[in-house]
Amino acid sequence: MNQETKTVDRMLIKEQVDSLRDGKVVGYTCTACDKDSITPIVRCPECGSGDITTKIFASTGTILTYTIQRVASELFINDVPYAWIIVQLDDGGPRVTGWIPYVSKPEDVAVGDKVKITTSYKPGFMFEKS
Amino acid sequence: MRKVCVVGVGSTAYGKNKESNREMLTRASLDALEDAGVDPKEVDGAFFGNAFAVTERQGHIGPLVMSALGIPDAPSTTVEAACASAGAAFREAWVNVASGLHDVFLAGGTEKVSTIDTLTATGYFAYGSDYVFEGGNGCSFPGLYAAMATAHMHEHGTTSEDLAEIAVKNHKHAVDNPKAHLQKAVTVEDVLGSMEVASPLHFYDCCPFSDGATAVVLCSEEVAKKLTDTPVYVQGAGRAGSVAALHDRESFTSIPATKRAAAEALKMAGKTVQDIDLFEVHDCFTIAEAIATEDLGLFKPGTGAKQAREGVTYRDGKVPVNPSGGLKAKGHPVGATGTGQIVEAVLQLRGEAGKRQVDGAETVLTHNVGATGGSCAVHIFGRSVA
Ligand SMILES: CC(C)(COP(=O)(O)OP(=O)(O)OC[C@H]1O[C@@H](n2cnc3c(N)ncnc32)[C@H](O)[C@@H]1OP(=O)(O)O)[C@@H](O)C(=O)NCCC(=O)NCCS
Ligand SMILES: [Zn+2]
Repeated sequence: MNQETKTVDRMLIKEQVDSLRDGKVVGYTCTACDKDSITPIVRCPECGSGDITTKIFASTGTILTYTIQRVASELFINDVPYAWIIVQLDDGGPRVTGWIPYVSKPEDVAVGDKVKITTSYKPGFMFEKS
Repeated sequence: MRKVCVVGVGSTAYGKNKESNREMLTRASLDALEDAGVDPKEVDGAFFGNAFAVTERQGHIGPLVMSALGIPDAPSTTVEAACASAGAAFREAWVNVASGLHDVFLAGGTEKVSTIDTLTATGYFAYGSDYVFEGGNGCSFPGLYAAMATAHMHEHGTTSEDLAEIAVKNHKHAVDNPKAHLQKAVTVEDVLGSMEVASPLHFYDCCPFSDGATAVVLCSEEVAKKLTDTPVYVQGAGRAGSVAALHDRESFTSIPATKRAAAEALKMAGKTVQDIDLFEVHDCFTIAEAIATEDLGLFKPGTGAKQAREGVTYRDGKVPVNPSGGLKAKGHPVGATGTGQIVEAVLQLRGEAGKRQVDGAETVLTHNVGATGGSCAVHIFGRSVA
């Protein structure tokens, strides 16, 4: 369990995306109410506090919802079909999005499946089933 | 705030059009002005929706249209709120007239996408999402609504057949709409047998990529009374936002901005949703109609997808939803859709909707969503002041 907090109030999305590529899930947390967010925030959407710091979150979680993408944009055209998923990270972390390569059949993915982040060669999170 | 009326409407056909954005929007605007009996010189300004100017490499569309209409001095602004661009443009025009600042305003929108292929369009459309975490991370627009559909199925037992029934209804409605993109009936088997775009959504669960432009003329009640004995009143105008990214929402099966925008519009109109005779809602995908009707309070959460199957939301049903054919079958020229819904509302209220006419329509609600709900505009129109 990673609970390292830094007293940095802002970071660049680029830095965040770069660290994702190294398999490190960096996001934001509200020191007033513990609300976590992977999406950049400077004020807490829950309590309004401005005491936001960066935090490293768990890289494992549970699928909340998903789709199997068969028509994709240029960025992912060579990867279809694949699953795009919304994940609740473990240890009470934030929700994140990502994709799982080589998923084509309904039985390959389900709400509630456990997943973990793997090193990605694209922006954003790439997951595998754990 | 002053009372505001809609006195003229114009719309091109939806589909694959030869004209460019500036030509389509100029035509729709002129048609709306002629319908109103208002000379372009009386127009104080305009707000226009246009989400993907990049398809023609032509931004700043407003002054081109105003110049073509012979009123280059009148101010115009492009409003971008993804698929809710024109609904948002209408609201800004309404503010200008309701506040007393101006008397006559144009609101409209245009989109031109038939010049680009499916791959490019899928890429551009994803620009309306949170691109870091959604579009750029592998999710297409249909994919986002598909993720909402998966959640709706998981939580409420909604089935692909339920969703297909919504497509069947809206396609049936569009058969009677001479301006619709897809004037073709489909069956549940057609929908379920069509390719999956993003599971569980099939090809026929999606709206098409449409070209088209729409425009309406808004004016003060005072001006309206000089033009017509039967103006259509804007009884309520509501706008709201939600957290942009789907994963940051508490629920994947509800759009908070719909609830807030509807509450604002209904309060202004002094009405409840039960007082409304027909609805033009944002059904970019079949699941979107189900969720919209639940969020508007027409049906209990989880039951929105069952209503088409039961016949409730058909034109002659108890709660007519999308008699125009909706985005699903009338088509979805993104930046034009919001005012296109208002064109339908006005035609229905005037009794000019032809075969699509809902008998005795006195009050109509339009519901326009940007992306997965980051933006929403809800408007209520009626034959009387309130
Ligand atoms: C479903 C989708 C992938 C189809 O791609 P496309 O490039 O439009 O499809 P094609 O051009 O190959 O269409 C083939 C035929 O099917 C028709 N068609 C296209 N989309 C259709 C749809 N959604 N429903 C029914 N028929 C459709 C076309 O009119 C065309 O008919 P024609 O050959 O008689 O002209 C695409 O329309 C799509 O992604 N839609 C969603 C758009 C979107 O996300 N909008 C934003 C919503 S918020
Ligand atoms: Zn907080």
